[in-house]
Amino acid sequence: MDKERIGVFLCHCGTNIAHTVDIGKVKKYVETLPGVVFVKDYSYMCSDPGQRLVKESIKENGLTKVVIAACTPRLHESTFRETLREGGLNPYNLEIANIREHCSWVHDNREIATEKAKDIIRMAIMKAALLEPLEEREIEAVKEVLIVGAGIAGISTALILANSGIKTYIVEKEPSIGGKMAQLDKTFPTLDCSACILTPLMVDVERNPLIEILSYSEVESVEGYIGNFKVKVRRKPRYVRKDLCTSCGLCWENCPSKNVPNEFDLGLSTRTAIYIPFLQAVPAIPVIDAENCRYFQGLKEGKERCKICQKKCPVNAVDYTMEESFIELEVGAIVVATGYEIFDASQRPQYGYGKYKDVIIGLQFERLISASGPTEGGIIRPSNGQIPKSVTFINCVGSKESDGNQWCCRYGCMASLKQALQVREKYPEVEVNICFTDMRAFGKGYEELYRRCRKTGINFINGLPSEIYETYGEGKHLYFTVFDGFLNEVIRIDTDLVVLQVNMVSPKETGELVKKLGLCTSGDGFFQEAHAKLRPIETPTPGVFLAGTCQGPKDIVDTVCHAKGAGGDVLKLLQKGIIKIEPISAEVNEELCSGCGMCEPVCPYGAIVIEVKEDGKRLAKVIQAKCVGCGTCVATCPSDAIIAHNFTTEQIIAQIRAAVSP
Amino acid sequence: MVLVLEQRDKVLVEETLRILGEQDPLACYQCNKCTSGCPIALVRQDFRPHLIVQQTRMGLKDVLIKEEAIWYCCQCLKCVARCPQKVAPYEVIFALRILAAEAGYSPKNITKLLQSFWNNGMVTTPMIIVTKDFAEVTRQTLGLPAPVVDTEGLRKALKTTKLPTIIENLKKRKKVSKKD
Repeated sequence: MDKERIGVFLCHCGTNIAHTVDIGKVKKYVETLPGVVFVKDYSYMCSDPGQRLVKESIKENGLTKVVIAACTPRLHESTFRETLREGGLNPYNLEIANIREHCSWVHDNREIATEKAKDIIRMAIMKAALLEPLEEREIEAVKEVLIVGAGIAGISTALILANSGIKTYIVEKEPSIGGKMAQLDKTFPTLDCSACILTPLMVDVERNPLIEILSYSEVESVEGYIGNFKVKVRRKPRYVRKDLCTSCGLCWENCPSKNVPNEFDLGLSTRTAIYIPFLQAVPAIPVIDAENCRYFQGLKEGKERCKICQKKCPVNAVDYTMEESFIELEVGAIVVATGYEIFDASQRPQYGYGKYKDVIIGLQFERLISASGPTEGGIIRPSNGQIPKSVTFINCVGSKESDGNQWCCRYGCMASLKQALQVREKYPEVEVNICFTDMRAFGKGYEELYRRCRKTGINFINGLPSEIYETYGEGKHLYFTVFDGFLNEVIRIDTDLVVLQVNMVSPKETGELVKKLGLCTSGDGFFQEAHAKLRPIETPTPGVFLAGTCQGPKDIVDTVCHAKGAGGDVLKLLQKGIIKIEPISAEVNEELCSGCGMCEPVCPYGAIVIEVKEDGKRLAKVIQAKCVGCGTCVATCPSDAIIAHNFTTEQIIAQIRAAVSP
Repeated sequence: MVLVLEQRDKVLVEETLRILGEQDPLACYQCNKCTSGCPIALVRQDFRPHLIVQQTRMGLKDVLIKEEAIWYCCQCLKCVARCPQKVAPYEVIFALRILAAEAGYSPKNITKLLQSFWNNGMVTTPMIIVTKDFAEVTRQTLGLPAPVVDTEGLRKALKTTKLPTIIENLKKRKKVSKKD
């Protein structure tokens, strides 16, 4: 201990720390502590002059350990590690005392806060004396990537990666790539045709030699770690051979099971049992829905029925014997782009979705107004097929609730505006009402669209109805009352078609993926990012990234930005083919390990394996690339055989001693 | 009371636009700056320029022209300066006043004013003004000639406008109502 020469640097952080903590007093106190040979305070230690001060002080005073009392290590630990390296010290000879988030920001009594700051710094000094130099390790990474989900997010990430020369696999559970965007008619704010901007990208994905589409497939299991994941993918049988099929369409044109509700049109139309989801589907290979196929249903009764598709197929591509298969992939990184699910509007029964035929949701409206939809672009009342005399949009269905879905869907306001404008332009005589709480037109060009909509004479009603009713008998239609905050009056609205803008929720599969990939979700059920602002794409699991709405509600613009960002993050990781691993991890002392195996199941990252040596001795082994140094195994080990570097038992005990005995 | 949206006047906005020219009440997004800065709104609870614009947007013609509120505006034009959407409630209010008068609704004094203009070409008759030193000032003491009005010529000109019908309508005196 006497040999250590500890330098302590006190940061004012402007007034963030200095306002509540008396730096002068702290400085005088720290100078008296054992091992401390140098103390200096500065207004912003993270600034360039501040870092230079640290660097020069190390050299001038022959410091061996450095304590920086400033903000949380999450912000500037890596900055100061580099500073130490430049000052000629091992970067891990650094200890950060967090006297901002843990002290000045959470207290207002200056005297007590100053005392607490002294305690925090004293603990850091005692730990610093015991720090050991550590070296970063490097592992080789497979320069291939798996993307889960092929909506606009997955597609955007894949194109970035493949165009940068990285082999990319896209797993998509549906028969075609494209996701929800393929179902939209036009996109706000510019009213671009959704298919026109999406399908070229889908074709690019199909044509790119470095992208392999694994459609109608799901991730079965994931093993391994950053740089070296082993992924098993389950491929559901299409019953149509991709290598033979020419997408001629004879099979689905002749299929006799014609009344299957069409998922792509959200039940507004029907499809056949052998089908492609939509005309621009990629790959354009049909798939047999065994649940509704006469041949497969016949098999259950031991009979061979129908087989019309096989008979009609000119190239013999229909193969009823296809079975589920598995393929294994080795990838260096995984991008989760599983998107969102539409909130089930019937869970808010007051609006009558599912009860009244003329209450539909926004995505159904998209299918109606789409030229490729069931009505070829005609807006009709599902109850009678007539053009409505008035259409009412209701925003925030299943959104902004104190219990339930607490979040804003981030697309509903603009979707309502866009759809209302489409009605106005297509049917000028139709009355259009929008019931909303606050119009969130936050993006580039969105406010212009809002203004354009206002000028077309859409009725804007500042309030949401409590419930919707339907009249009886002749001329049956929907009606409701709503308090309009603008007019300060209760208004009765009679309308023929109600369109609900419903929230986005996390898809059902999220839970499974959380387990398979070692991820976690935030309170809203969407995947949790590593940092809300600065690391919105990375996850707590190294090598796994998020893209698009699986991380939280986004519109198309934000989704594409997020997804392309994911492409950038993956490139940063894999470009060199070598990944640096932080040395703060656990290590097993082989002489002490009894091989009991208690550590293996407690590791939340699956980073410990039990190896059996040639002589039969069982030993725990830490996979360094997976270990994040959380210390759970260290606490569990009954033989004290595991140490966590940078958080050794001695270091922690020294801190506790310092805390309890000033 | 419940307003039934189906019974709204669907052409009110078009009617106002015909009078307004470039301003458009439809552009309003209810930021309420007009009312926040309105000197009349400070003293009259029933005068809310933003509400008048919204009622116009929603086609509530009956409410607007039958009530006295639209006649309170003192034309300071602050709302014109402040409106971020260039709606200018002042302009909307003026268009509404014209529509109200056409339909025979206006406060008593306004009728008098129009009648006076019809009669002698002046909205008020020349008066005696008393200064702060209690001196009486008239056109005569100022050396001005007595007003000469070509009543015949004036009426001939005014007959080409809507004024005679408006005055006739107003004489039937549909009373405007006050809220408070």
